[in-house]
Amino acid sequence: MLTYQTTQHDGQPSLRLAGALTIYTAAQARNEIPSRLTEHGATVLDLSGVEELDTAGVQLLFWLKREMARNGPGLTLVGHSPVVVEVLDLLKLAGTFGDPILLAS
Amino acid sequence: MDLDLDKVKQTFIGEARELLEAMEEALLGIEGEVDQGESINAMFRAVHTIKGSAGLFGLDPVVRFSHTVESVMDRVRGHQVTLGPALVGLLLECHDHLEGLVASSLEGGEETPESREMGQKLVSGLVPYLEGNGTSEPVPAPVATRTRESGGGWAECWHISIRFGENVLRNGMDPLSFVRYLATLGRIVHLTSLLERIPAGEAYDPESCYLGLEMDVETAADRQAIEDVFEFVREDSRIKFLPPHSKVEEYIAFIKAMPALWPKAGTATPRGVVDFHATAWISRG
Repeated sequence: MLTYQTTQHDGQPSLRLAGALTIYTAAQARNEIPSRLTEHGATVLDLSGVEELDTAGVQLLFWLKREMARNGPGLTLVGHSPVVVEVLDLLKLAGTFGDPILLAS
Repeated sequence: MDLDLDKVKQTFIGEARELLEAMEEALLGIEGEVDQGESINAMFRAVHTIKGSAGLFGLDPVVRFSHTVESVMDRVRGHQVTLGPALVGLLLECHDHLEGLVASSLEGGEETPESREMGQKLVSGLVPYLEGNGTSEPVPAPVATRTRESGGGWAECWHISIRFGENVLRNGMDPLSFVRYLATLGRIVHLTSLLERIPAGEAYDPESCYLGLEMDVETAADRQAIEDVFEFVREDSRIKFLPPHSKVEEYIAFIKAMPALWPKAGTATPRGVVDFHATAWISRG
């Protein structure tokens, strides 16, 4: 299950994901996220509610970032949940994605 | 079937081009940067990956040349070599040569004398950066080995190159589990994830798998144990294992002696090119 919430991050409109970003939700997410981002003028994707992340999810995040960089202001990923941090670290992708990762204390 | 082999080659060309572009971009921008770390990493990753992919296709000239460039990049990364304007210029020339090698390698046939001469000239320029401080005379032959000072004994490592098949996720598997399991067999000394195969725009299928991995794993496990990790994705994916302690010459000799191991066009299956075989590789230690 993947749900969306429009919110603010550092005063910027952002889209917060909650639940699973996996092979089971990737198709739905691919259809919904771009339009929701545009609708709310959001260039920030908040991952603090992501509880599950697999390869499909990682690919989707990469695709989203790349599409939004090609066609506009780009997309920043924030609020990396522990699950997200673990996966990005496993695949050594923190540098590739280029978003600052703040570890929650 | 020739069609499948062509598609697979196209993937390599596409991936290599993106990586070469990234490498060039990094080189062109680097002199203005205060913190060069990111760009240096990007350049290393690019060459490292091209080398791995070229190995999958047995493109010896690309493998040999990119190995030398990678070795210099590794020293830059380790702060043993400074990336000054002269080296940036040389690396840009290496980039151009690599571009040419990639393009012509896939057409088959031997490397042209002009290309070989250019390659040797560039390698001569790179060698001083390998042996430190330009105190040694440049040698025309490619460098077969280099030492690695920090721990991690790459000579002890298996190098594993994987391009996961498109249907891996649909078949209920996840590359992440392979990496996690591999980590229980030993120490993953180096890992690069490759997402360049993800298509842009509408062509992207969220349920397809586009991931590739280049890994160095330090393990006492035997070949069978390592191969078994990938048992369920082997058929659908392109995987290559390179044992520890292999050198350039061994790699080439091994390939030449074992033509039966190379994928034949006729073994392509509907689900993808069966390209699983183990060969000797270039060691990094």
